[in-house]
Amino acid sequence: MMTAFLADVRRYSGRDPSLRTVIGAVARNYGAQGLLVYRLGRFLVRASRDWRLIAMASICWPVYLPLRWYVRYALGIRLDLSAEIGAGFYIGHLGNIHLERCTLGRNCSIGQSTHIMPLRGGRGPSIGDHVWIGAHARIIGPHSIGSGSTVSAGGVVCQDVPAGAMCLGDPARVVARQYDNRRLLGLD
Amino acid sequence: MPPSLRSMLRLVADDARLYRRLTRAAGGPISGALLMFILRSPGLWILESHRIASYLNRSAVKRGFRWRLAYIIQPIAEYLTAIISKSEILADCHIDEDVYLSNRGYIICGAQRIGAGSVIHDHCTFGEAVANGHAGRPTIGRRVWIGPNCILAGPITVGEGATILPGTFLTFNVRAGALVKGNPARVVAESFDNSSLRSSCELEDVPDGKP
Repeated sequence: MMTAFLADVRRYSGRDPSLRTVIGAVARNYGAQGLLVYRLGRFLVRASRDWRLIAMASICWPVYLPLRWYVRYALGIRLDLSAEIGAGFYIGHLGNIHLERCTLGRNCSIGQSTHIMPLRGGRGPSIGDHVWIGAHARIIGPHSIGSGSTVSAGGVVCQDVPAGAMCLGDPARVVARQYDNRRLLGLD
Repeated sequence: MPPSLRSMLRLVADDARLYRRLTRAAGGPISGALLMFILRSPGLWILESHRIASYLNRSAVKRGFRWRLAYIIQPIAEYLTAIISKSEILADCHIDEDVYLSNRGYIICGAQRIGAGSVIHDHCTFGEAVANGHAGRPTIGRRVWIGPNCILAGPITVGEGATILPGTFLTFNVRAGALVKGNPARVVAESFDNSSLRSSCELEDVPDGKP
């Protein structure tokens, strides 16, 4: 939990995390608050299955649930525990963000009003590493998005996206096969 | 021109008057109905929170009791705006008088300027396009109507009286009076009169009648 969250903080602050940068990132960014609560929840789910950690987990659940309520309804960031989010995740702003039963790799970015979830009970999207997803994007259904690809703001993904490609529009179509998104991700 | 507190307060009063006119709220000038109306208009709160931030950002003299008071109030107002209406407005965005922001919130506004008489609906994003060195922020002209779920990205200019229909992803300049829709956007009409759209912003106060 801590290594993944420290990687998230590195995406927010742009430097190696110390106690000061962690507190600063969580205080300034609503996305970091949402991620902290999500990582805590994932940790508690794992801890509840381990008999050595059950006592600690049962103390932490009542702390976690109001925090999740705050993040979900006050910040509008709904990171469901069924979503598997890799380390170094970045959430741009706040409001109307819903991630559920999806797999995201390392160092991904999403913007506000993004929905990544399965279509009514099916398999969820699986997204590779270093994927930049713009604001208002919708990735709904069992689509796979390759590593290093870019979904433009407002993109509605209805098919698989190859690695390194850039897609935009509603429905999204691939407009560039080779698109360098390192500047977008801020990972030069 | 650095703003004075008096001009900021005049803007605030103008905003309240505009919101009452557009949402057709009842009540006299000073009454319980006015208070209820202010409490029920989160869009007005977003705007007033931004007015305070803009005043702090642009005022030349950074001292005095009033400035300190605004300096204390501003982060609290910004936080309340964020958690109640999920909206964020950049402090150096210049919003003219008579601008209506939707009461439904979810507005992430990083525009350079929003002209007078514009109507901005919910779930809108105005921001920088970071791709391919096209960095820059949108400028929205006067009397523009922007529907819900719109994205305006990049150093674009939206001309006076333009209409942007719901769900548009706009990345190019729009001429005055044009009608734009689609994702990616396209111009569907060169001259369109949006005055009736702008005068009937939200149908929240229409009573639930039978069809």
